[in-house]
Amino acid sequence: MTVELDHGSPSTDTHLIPLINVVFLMLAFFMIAGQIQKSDAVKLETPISESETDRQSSPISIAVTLDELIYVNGTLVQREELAGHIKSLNIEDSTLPPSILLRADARLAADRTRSLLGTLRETGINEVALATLQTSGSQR
Amino acid sequence: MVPLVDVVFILLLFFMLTTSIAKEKQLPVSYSSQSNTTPDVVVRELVIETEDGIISADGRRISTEIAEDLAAWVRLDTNATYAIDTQSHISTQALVTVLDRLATAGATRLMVRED
Repeated sequence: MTVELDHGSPSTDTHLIPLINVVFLMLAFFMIAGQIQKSDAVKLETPISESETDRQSSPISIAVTLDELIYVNGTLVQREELAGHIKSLNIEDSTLPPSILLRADARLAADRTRSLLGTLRETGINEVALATLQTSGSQR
Repeated sequence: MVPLVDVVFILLLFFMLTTSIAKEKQLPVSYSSQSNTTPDVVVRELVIETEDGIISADGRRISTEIAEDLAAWVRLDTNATYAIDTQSHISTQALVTVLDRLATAGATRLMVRED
């Protein structure tokens, strides 16, 4: 006489283990490879660069959209008022060399960006940091 | 097991939505008009002609995509200041790309001409 032992069907939890493994791997990837950052108020396409210099926080951040709207620290500023607006921001830390982070849309005409640099020179600043992104594909 | 999976899913969702894989960098750019360049500094003028990085300099066209050609041109005077001008249809991305390629080729002093 043969006796069949009933081991019972595997529980549903056992079926979930491969799924949980994958989810854990994805979680580990995003935790290690990604970096949490404050989302920018002004949405634009940042130019891709191979620059190795990490972005520093700057007291003055200028964003220029494809429509040539200029935002200084998130506030919309008219082009003709830009130099005066930056000078007024700079009064508080006049002992430090002024630092400007320029976020220009990658699709914006370069001569418009260059024209903006001319306006910035009126404030006495001859160097800016251009915000760029380094994608994994652009790393050397 | 199920509560653990729920928590892990929520964590995954949080990290997927808040993290960015691309790294935020910055590129220092100095700029100058034609008139205020110091006279005793050797300035090599170049104009970006096309989006794919063809420049005209010293009366000839150089493709910055071909690293050897660009490096050979830069080696003629690595200490010079490279002043970059652009044609009207060139995008900011193309300007950044050429700045990158010149730095890779060994140019240390890069400057963007104001419009």
